[in-house]
Amino acid sequence: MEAQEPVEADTKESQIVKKREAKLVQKMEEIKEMNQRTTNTIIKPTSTVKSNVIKEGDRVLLVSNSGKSLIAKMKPSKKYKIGNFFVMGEEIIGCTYGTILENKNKQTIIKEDIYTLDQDIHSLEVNTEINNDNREIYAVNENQKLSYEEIEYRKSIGIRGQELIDDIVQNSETFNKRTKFSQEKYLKRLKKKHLNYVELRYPSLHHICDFVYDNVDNKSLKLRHDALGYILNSTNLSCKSTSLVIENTKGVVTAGVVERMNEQGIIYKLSLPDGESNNVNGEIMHMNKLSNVEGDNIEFINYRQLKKKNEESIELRKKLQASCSSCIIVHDKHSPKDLFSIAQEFLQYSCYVAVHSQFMHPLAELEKYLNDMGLAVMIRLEELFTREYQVLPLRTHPHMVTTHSSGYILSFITIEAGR
Amino acid sequence: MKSIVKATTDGIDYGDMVVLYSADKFANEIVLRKGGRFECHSGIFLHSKIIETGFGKKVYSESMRESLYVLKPSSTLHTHCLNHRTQILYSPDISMVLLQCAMKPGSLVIESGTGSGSLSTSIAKTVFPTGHLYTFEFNEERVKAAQKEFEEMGFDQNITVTHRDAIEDGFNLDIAGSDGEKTDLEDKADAVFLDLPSPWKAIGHAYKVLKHNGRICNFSPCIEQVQKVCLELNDLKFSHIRTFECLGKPYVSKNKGYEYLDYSENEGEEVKEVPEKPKKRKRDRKAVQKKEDMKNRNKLLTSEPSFKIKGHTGYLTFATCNKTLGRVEEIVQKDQKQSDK
Repeated sequence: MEAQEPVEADTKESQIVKKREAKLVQKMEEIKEMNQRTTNTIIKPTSTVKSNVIKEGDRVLLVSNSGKSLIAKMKPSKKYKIGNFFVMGEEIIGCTYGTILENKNKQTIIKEDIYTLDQDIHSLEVNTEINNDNREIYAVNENQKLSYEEIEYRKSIGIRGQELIDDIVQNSETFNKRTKFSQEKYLKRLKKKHLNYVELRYPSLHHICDFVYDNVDNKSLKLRHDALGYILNSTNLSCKSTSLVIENTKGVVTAGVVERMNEQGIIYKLSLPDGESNNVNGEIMHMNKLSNVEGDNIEFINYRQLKKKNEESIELRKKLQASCSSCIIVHDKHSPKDLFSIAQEFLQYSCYVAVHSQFMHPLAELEKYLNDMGLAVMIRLEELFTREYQVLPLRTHPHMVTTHSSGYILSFITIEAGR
Repeated sequence: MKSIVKATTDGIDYGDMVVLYSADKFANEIVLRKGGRFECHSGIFLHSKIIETGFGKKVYSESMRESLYVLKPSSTLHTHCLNHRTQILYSPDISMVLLQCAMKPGSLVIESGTGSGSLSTSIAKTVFPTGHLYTFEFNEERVKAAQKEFEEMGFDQNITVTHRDAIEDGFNLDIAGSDGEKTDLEDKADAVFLDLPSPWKAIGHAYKVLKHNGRICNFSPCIEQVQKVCLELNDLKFSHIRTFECLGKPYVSKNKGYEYLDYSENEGEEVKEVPEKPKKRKRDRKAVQKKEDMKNRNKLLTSEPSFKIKGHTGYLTFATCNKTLGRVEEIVQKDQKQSDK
């Protein structure tokens, strides 16, 4: 009796598995059918497509498969370099955003089989049985029969890309012993190293934010996309606002504000006397370099000029007095409390304010000041907890490596002082 | 124009919406009418008095005992004080949707389902004044309630609420009928947002209405739903499929003091001994000073995480729609060849 029980359980389990498989097959067929239906209606050069074509003078975000990226203004005669990928401007102009370019035999061609940079490496088959495991895999250098010199030789005689990867895989002793998931991971690494292609992306705000977060030197303030989104949302920006921006994120926040206000309304950008942001033109140029946003409605105000006691600055002060309906402070050179006390006189009552800092304590000080003086309601000090997930059949989990914090955000609504 | 996005430098008038906020974090949105009055647990507030008061100031009740703050309406405050007809989206998720879907004034956005209208309000505020939100909901009662709310907020020109099961009938409004006005939405949407019980069934419909390079966002509380959605998105050649979870972690700041912990048992006696020995006295004074300093030093301004927070809201999956990749001339040629056949 004892011996029979597990057999029964086995058959039950296998039945369930079979049922599941049958369901999945059915599902895949459904998907295929749907694919056919939709692919019939895909290609349509409508007016909306035309607006998605790269024109001369547009800014394009070029991202290579090895993770290197570049934002550049398109000129036909200019040569662009991303990692070890070279491309001429004229080859980019005329393509739609989202196109992937590939280097093959010293020519740039449009890659058609791959739609994305990272999806092609994962098989999306659902019923991958786990037959193999790593009990017989040892970390020895002999696993790969090709030596470094041999690989370099192959490269020099023109075997590159997919061919080279196939070669390396064939010469790997352990490849066939690996599980399917492990094989994919191995291929992913090889593809990142040996394939060479570049994607043309539209520089949307979230792409710009990621680009700056990943690329710009450590000197500039790090603002993750979730924090930027939260700041823009909590300050009630709309096309009719008048907003005061104090920032030193090299124009990322300002670009966001301009985009949300659709180049209407008024933006006052207050620059403070510290090296970097004194150079107003440099900053706005940086912003323009990053995005296709123009920003004609930005008015630059220098703090030093504001402090002077001549007629001009008195008039400016009068104009600014209680005029702003939203205020964003993202600055790491001065304390949030000081910055807010500068901004305070320019804010209307019931003005939506968001202050960002990498540190919690300075914001707590500001929060205490607001509470003690009775200057604001709806005071919220928050940190955003954001995680990205890898979603694949049977392999869904949060990313192994992630950025820990996007800083702290203090948001509140100003009121008439006094309690 | 009465609207949530009204430029408010020119004060409040009848027909405007204001938010009344009490110190105990109780907020209410009201539309001001001539001769109107607002009654709540704090007392009776006359609308005329609210207009006299102005934004950011205290308005007093008729009995002059209680007061409320008059605040400008906003989408974030609306999320704070709306009537929950369904589970709603909160600010961290909303802000991520707005940024990742690249919504800005002028965007055409499609949403399903409307639910309580928390996200709808934020989208409408963002795409205002030239953009439009088409939102679909299969519960008739919620459709009516949402329509009434959007009108009060002044978004009736920017939001179209349609009573329809999007999974069955799709998002395109090209057939005039009980659905309302006829509008061909195919290839027009900048972004599609899905919050449905079985969202993977609606992705084919979403693909039809999306522009090339348009963004899709799916909000699902369960990872199983997300998996099906990702498979479907991959099959329809969407790119940049990324899944996020975003939560707000609120903190409360306060001055935290600790009691002074002294290890010496006969501390009191030592202090008495002080006058006898002048040399020691100095030291002990220092010790007393130190003790006081320690007390003050121990009271520091810190922030403490809130006790109970939202541990999970949902997974947000974003992807970019790809319809026409490559060079335009080639695309046009291909298209012509197809139509010739």
